Amino acid sequence: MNPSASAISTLQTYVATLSGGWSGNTDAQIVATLNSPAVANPVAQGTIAVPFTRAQLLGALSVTSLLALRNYVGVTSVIADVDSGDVGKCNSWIQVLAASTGTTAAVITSSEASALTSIVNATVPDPSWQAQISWAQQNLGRSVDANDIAESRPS
Amino acid sequence: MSLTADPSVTYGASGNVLATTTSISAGASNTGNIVDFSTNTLGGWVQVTETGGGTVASTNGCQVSIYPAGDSTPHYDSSAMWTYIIPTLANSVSRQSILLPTGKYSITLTNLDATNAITAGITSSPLT
Repeated sequence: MNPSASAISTLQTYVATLSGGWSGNTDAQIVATLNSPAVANPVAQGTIAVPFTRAQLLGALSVTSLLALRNYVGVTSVIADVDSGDVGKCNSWIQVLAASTGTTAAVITSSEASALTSIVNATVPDPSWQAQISWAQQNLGRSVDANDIAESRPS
Repeated sequence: MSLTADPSVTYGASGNVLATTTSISAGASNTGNIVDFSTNTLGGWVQVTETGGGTVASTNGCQVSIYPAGDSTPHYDSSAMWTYIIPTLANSVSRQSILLPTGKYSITLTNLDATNAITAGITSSPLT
């Protein structure tokens, strides 16, 4: 890449502090050092949603609830949204199926609704998160290549 | 005008149309940059230079839009005749050129990054 003037200045200052500095390291050695994970990632590890399946959700229902769901007029739409994996839509369906009045019974019980909510909204730590990032990523927002170092090397 | 010798390029000074240190704010445009090759037999080169800052959004780039003049006023086209995007790289200088035929053009640079500014410039070099 073609480093900007700001990048060149940053590179010149930092490489001079490395063991051997500019004169004691080849361009390739400097690239490897600057691109190696070395500093703590300032971005905290996030979470990602855990995919759920139709079998998982139906498996949380009693036979009574399964029969009630089978007879539910909107069951086709429920299954389609479950298969799509859409968390928002599934949360809405859980709310709808658990609703009841004095004259209209719920399709699923409140405890089943809680179990389904836990499955649909489950998350895990993001496995792609790196605990350490390179000096280049931290200071330049990208990795460096041989051209970056060649253009920054003091003459 | 007619060719009496092999064509050649007279390279312009960097940023002779728009200084390469011109800042373009997030989502903003720099308009009305005129390149005049109307008396050059073979037109000329236009190079756009773009420099990314320390942070670049996932949606980024310097969009170059070129509007030719159609009369002596001059009135420039409403829709760009050519448009291309130079991706923005953090702390990097990117350049991309286009060869324009004889004519007069208005060039607009648009920063597609909605969060971060870039610096950009335009250099023209006529062919003769």
